[in-house]
Amino acid sequence: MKIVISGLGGRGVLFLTQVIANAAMLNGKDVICAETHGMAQRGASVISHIKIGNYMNPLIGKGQADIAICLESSEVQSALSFLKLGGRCFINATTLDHMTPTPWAKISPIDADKITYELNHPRGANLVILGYTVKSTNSLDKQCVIEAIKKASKPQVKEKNLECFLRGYEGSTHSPSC
Amino acid sequence: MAVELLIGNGAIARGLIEQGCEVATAYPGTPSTEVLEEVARFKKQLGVNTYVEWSVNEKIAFDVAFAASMTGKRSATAMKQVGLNVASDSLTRSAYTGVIGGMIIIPCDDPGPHSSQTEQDSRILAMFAKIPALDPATTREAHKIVKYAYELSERWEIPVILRPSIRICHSRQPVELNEPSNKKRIAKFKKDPHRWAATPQYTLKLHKILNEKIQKIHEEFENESALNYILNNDSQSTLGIIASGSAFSCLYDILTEKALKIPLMKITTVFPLPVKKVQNFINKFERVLVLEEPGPAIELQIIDRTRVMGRLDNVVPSEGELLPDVIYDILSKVLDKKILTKEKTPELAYKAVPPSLCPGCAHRAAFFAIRKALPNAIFTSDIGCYTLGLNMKAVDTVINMGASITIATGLSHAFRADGLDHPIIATIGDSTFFHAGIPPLLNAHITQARFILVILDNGCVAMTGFQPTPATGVQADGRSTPQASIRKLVEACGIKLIEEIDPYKVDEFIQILKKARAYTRDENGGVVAIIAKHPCVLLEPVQKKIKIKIIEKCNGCGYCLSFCECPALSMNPETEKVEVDYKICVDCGICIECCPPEAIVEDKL
Repeated sequence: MKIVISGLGGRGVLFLTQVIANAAMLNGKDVICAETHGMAQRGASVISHIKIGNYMNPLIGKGQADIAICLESSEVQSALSFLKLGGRCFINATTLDHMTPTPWAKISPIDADKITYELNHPRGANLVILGYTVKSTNSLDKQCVIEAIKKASKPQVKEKNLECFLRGYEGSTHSPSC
Repeated sequence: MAVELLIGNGAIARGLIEQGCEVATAYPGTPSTEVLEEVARFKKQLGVNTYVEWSVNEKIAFDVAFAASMTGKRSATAMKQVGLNVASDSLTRSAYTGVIGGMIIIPCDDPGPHSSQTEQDSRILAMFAKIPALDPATTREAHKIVKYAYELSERWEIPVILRPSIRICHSRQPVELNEPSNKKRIAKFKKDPHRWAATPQYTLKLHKILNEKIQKIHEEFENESALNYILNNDSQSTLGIIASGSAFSCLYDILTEKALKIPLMKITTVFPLPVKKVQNFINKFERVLVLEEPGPAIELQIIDRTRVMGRLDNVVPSEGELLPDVIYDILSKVLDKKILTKEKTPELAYKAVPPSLCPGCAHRAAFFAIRKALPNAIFTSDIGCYTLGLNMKAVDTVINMGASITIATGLSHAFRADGLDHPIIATIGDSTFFHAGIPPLLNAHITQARFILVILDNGCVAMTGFQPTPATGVQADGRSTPQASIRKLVEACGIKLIEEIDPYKVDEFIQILKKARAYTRDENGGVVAIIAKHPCVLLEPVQKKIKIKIIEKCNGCGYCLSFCECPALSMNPETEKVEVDYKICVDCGICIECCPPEAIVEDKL
């Protein structure tokens, strides 16, 4: 299983990467991931690669990822460049109308910002998308992800993080586009 | 056995603690920073007594660790690859004197580069210095190899370079944890001036001893089959591949996935290369490809290269990272067939967002004032978050640590030799100033250079993750330390005119800069130092919040976007007016100063 996460620095890409990697490990799988450190907080494009299984190197080649998670809609092209034919892309967006049609991939938007606004937890958007991804793809074990979120979250935001994940898991307001 | 998800730097740190490292030093620098941070974390978690130190610069970090090895203790020092350049005087000498307690040097390479001013290969520096170099291919291997590195170092009394590249430094993998060693070595110093204070005649003797050591280590490596081995050995292939480091692991995954049974030799002991073993492998094939990064360290040591393909004959590109796609291309070229999947996804036009200064960053205010006050100046700058002043066109040169001051000095002398007087403003961060700015400032003063130095003091080493500076008063493991004073150091260098200002006070700063410029032109003037002090906005959020709004007056001139360049401001292409992204605006109010028609105002609700 190969997953890329694209976004902008300082907005939770690394946190999500570590949650997914931990969830895989808790589920008894081997995992290896590549992270972008250093420039992370300066708002630059960042991308994480996660490979679940018996891999030696963390990097995913272009057109090789099974799943692409895109935390900022401005970074969708980056996410899609790694996605394989027929791969699934989950994006923090209200609509796909502004995007050029991509019939070769299944892109699913979820309005994570709306949900985090309701929950008053803007930094939880990445977990909303993770919830939706986990539900839609069976790529990760739900309980393991919940455990991983608990482990990784600071005490003051742990409950809110879990809420965001569950809201994303329970349902979205959009169905996957073709 | 306990297992933890560790990044490569953390795996190395864990290895150091497990193998009884008693002294660990470093200077922050991507991709090495986490090594010392993880040592400090494990120190606390496991209750071990490891001495940890953020040194003022890498040369110092190296010497402190080296001295510990002189006393018989195991030590380690970590830095980014260009940091090893800073320590190179110490590096080369350490090979001659050798060590007693094991010493591991951890220079982290950055093929790409992702975050460095060169793509140099630290293994080639190891060759130059005559120090053995180990090249782990994965996070787990980096953890495991620390034991061998210390044993090698002590067996031959020579420091050892353990070189991870960024894809190992920042690659996370489950690692099996071992108990930390509780073996303590009591420090002792045996007087031996022919060794530790070798003058030329003894240096010659030491050099002979060093050459013999390298010979013997070479023989050891020839027989080290746990570290250098062949996979897919029984193939009928006419092509063989030799690889090391992350290039090896990337290639391995590709060969496995594509079911390509090409004989693959893994090299972990890159210097001195087991050349006999390698040549035996090469002689079995018509052609052999060498894959390593970022330079041709293995390739250069191969004795007969007639069948070898690599960087030296341009089969492998000589710059840039060996990403999977690059390796696919190389393999396709070499195998004369496309090995990517038949159906490729469409090419997508993608423009990555470059990094920029955070909303509320005081450097933004400082650069705005600098450009406003002296728009025609040459802006020599340095390495840190403020390098991003490039986006505001307030940075003209970034060469290496401390070069903001040395280049300003050199430019000043060059212009003045022709009787010209060009305004020059050097900008340097607090940590960079401590690291490499003090001798340059002293030099500037005594050679009577004329320029304005702005020390941007945000109280931390920000870009690498807010590590403490010598002025902070705390060390890597949280213990208290005395605090250095930037002002006192500037005074000590002889600078006569020193100003201190909070850069948020933009108008005041502009006046100070103009006064400073006059001083640099004055017959009795000299270098002016302005200490622009304001804490990093990510560490200390804005105290006095000023909510802003953009009013009708906005004529879409875009001045604020070019000269303030805050990520929270953007142009709405439909309304042709600038608007604010309140999700990231931190209410610093700096942009109010940056609008000529005064269309950015405080929103007094």
